[in-house]
Amino acid sequence: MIGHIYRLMDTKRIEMVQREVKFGCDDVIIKPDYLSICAADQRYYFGKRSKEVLQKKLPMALIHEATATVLFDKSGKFSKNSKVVVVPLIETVSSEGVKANYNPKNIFVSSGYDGFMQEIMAVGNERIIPINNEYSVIYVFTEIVSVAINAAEAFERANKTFTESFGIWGDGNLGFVMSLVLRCLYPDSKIYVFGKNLRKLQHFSFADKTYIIDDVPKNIKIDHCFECVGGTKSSEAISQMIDMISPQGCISLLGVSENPIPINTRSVLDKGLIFIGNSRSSKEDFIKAVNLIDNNAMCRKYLKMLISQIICVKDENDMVNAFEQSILNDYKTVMKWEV
Amino acid sequence: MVYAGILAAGIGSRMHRQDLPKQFLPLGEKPLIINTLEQFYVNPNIDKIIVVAPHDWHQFTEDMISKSDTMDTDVLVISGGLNKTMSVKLIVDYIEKNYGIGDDDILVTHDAVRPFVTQRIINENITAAREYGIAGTVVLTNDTIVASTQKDYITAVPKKSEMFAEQTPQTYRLKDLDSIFVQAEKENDVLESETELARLCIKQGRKIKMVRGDVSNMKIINPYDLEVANALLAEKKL
Repeated sequence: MIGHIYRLMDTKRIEMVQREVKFGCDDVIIKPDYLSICAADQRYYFGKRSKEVLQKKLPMALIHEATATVLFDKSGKFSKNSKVVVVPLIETVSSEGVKANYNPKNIFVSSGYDGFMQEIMAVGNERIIPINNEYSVIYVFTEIVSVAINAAEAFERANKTFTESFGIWGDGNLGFVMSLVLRCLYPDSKIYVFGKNLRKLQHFSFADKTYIIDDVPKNIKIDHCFECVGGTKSSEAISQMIDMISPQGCISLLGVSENPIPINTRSVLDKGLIFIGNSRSSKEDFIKAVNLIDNNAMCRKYLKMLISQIICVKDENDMVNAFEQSILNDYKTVMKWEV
Repeated sequence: MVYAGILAAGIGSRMHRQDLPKQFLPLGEKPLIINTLEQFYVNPNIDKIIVVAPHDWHQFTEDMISKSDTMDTDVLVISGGLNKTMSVKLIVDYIEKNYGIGDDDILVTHDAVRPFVTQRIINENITAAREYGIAGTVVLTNDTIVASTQKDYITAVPKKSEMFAEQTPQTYRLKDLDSIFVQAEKENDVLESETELARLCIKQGRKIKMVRGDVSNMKIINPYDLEVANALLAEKKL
């Protein structure tokens, strides 16, 4: 069987290639329904990665956040037409002692391997998780929710003693989801969000308080911080966190910065702070994310607010339009995949 | 029920490979026809697949399908007609005889030698046939079409914007298709010489809803097409 793959060939250039879709007994044939554009996809599309990285990884189909419909499953485990999410992490080795998303031998789609911008795909059934058809669009955010769950659990492993208040830096997609996941997991804790854009901060209506970063009162007590800023600005964010966090607090880092950034280690030592690096998520995080969306009406309600625009995509021109539009939207641009 | 009728009765004289009809030639790692069949086999809206094979290649077709590691043996093979129209009629007759024709039954007919068909095209055909009775897949032509009645001089140059190339699938509400064949018989139409079923539909005043095809849904007719198709599938690092 032959499928169509829509690959980013070069900056802002998406082209279709046809490839054989090979499938065995343990594979499920799926057709993507909704694809959500993430900052990492935008960096590739707009050529914001280094020349070496672009040369090494392109051509490549983007997108690692998707819902899909099952077309065919020989094993009978998934019924035809059922809605699912697909784990973008492909485990190539057993990861004893190391969480799968941190094992460098494992593959992450849309990072050197084709992502979900495909007409049909054969996916190992271990990477498929069924979802509730009724809310199928918002499950397109399962991956980003699972990233927040990965970070929240890493924090829990490091510190469970005091969780009165959390500070989340970043008013973008990841900041929104991280804040929301913490709101769901710690309903009695204070959630404070720090950003630079008042319009975007207004989205965080579930938070106890939001602050513009250059107008922060001095008396706020923050037990732990989550950095969801990334880029060069993450240095300023981390600096502010170090100043504001309580002694022996945790600073969880989630934002990606291409270049090294300075950190005030004196204050880190003085306060006895813990830094935790977080990246991506495992299948277990995905299952927890799906459960959270399934069972938490508040989570579903606010996740819906993350959609800035749904763009119907039928061909390469629509795809280019969606990526161009995504940079103008405050929050998520979702492609309704009709290729 | 939604049936897929895969038309594979041609013997591929334009392939210049008389030993093996073109639908059985390899495309990528599988025979061309298997690539096409799998696309219908995995479609959740298709309930039954009937393949029309050349009479002399009937058993070979069955063997090829049963040996494929992806499909079970519930793909049915019947022996084909003289042309596409006759092959479609054979499928209709077979369904009528063995399963009966229900009011909502649909038949999606497709050339075995168009392996690049997509799920979207198949699904939009089924939806259109359910609503309009008959659906045909078309694409706008890149080339200007000219007509020549004597095959000597150009006699007409139709407007490009009104010209489309016909592809498959062509999809029918089975009840309507059955009545088309009944009426053709009444009007003494010779199906053996009618290669285009769509022409027969138009002649009878039927409307055919157009479904957007794709230039990639190419028909593999000659050795050049097969070379191109295999080259398209080859992974090459830029």
